[in-house]
Amino acid sequence: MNDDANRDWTAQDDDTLALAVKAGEQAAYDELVRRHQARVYAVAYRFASNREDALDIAQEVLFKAYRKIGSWEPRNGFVPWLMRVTANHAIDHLRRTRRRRTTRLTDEYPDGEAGAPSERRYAQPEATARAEEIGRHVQRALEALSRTQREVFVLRHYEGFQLAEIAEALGCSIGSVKVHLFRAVRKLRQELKDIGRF
Amino acid sequence: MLRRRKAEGLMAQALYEPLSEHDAAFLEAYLHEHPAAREEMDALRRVVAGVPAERPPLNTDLLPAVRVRIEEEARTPEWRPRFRLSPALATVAVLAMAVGLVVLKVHDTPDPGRPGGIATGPAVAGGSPLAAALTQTGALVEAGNYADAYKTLSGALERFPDAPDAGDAQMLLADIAFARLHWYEQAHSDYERLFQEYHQTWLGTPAHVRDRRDLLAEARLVQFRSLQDLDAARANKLDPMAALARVIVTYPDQAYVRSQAAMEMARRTIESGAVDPASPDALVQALRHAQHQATDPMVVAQLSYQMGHLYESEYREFDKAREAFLQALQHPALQPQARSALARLDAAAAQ
Repeated sequence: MNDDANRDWTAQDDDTLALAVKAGEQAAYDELVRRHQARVYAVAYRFASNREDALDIAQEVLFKAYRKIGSWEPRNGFVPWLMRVTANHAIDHLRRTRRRRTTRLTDEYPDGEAGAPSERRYAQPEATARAEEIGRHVQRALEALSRTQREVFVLRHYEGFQLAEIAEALGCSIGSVKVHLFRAVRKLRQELKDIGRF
Repeated sequence: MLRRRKAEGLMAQALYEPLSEHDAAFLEAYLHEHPAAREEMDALRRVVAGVPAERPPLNTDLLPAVRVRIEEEARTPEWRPRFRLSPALATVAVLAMAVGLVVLKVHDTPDPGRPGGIATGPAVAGGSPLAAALTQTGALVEAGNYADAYKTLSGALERFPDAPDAGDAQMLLADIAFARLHWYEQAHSDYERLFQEYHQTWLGTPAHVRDRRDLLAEARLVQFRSLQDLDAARANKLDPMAALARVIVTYPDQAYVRSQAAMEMARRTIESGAVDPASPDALVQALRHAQHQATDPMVVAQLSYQMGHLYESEYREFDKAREAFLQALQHPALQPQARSALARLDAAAAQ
């Protein structure tokens, strides 16, 4: 076993880990998966709208990213690249399967089940119900966005990417990102007006 | 027009990020001149504030399944990683390594023959009543004694259906039945049981393994004869290409099996040396080569369809995919699939 195999990868930043993976260090990729699997799943969920497809997509993306790590350029951050792979794969997956499921995240966690959204633990029943209703509406509204609008909104709103990072991840200009974001939020407003809050 | 576009971009930016002094002044002036835009800006702020940004929780660890996929890939011939098969086709791609998928979880030593091998930990708890049976099954599989492996594990699972690793055991059973023993009816039952009774394990399996359930459901309609004929065609020593072509023609309603036969034709073509396996589009070249050799119009159409599928899903060359699907459309048996693929491309293009 060489020194790298014994190395504490948890102390390394993402890009160092990704470089190590490029050099053939599997253990470094394990650490990247541990760090980012929840994020990959979350983005996949925003595209797939159901847990089963999102799990499928996330698993496939994490495998695909390993296979394609050679195409990652260190000058670009690893996470934006991973998010781009995730969004692309999620969209391809949806195009291939065309499964129209109606289950929503909030429908899939019966009361009392371990792992239910943390808000259940402290929220008042009315507030919880309201939050769930909004969550369902939002997820449905996201489906009305175009591919790029959805990518931009998910990365900015849910993942906290800066607009410049999104532009880098999507390979377009910041101006274009801004336009897509504006249209996304405007469309969401239209889609959400039925719940009387926006 | 340009001014409005710029203002809208800044409105979007201002929803999330601070503006430079210059941009803030520009936007403020614009909103001052356009009260409707200011009203919209306020509304968009409410949207952003009102859409919860909480992440959906991931209640499972994906790392073990990802490791298995990586290990699987490391065991494939050099040219295989270039393929990105459809879920249905991937079923065939992993046929020969199916059992390894779960066996890896049973053994806790890395593959010594592969640099950087994954030290996959045992999937079972030491105290599980199935642990011994899983270990014994793994050893029997490695020794090539698949029937005894199946018998050993199914007996243990019958006794301990609620053991913590019972889902893994059920998946291993299904894999052995499908990939090693080719007991398709049994494999169908086993994957159904995995889906119904061990759904959490099912969710953690790689997509290409999960697609076997669909494949088997389709083959069940013809009492699994299509899969048996496909096996026979693969084993044909005299003229496997002709045998594979016959499978395509014989089962016009078995889309999965037809696809697999076509992909097998491509692989045989690559193995024959007719196509450079290192070429990035080796599989498409192989399909085209096989198509030139084919005489039956349905086989020609099926191979076109496969090319279209690869262009669409792997290479993302949608114009070429469309062209290939249009060629597939020429044969009545392929029309439903080809139409559906073209509609999918149209929908994607419209987005």
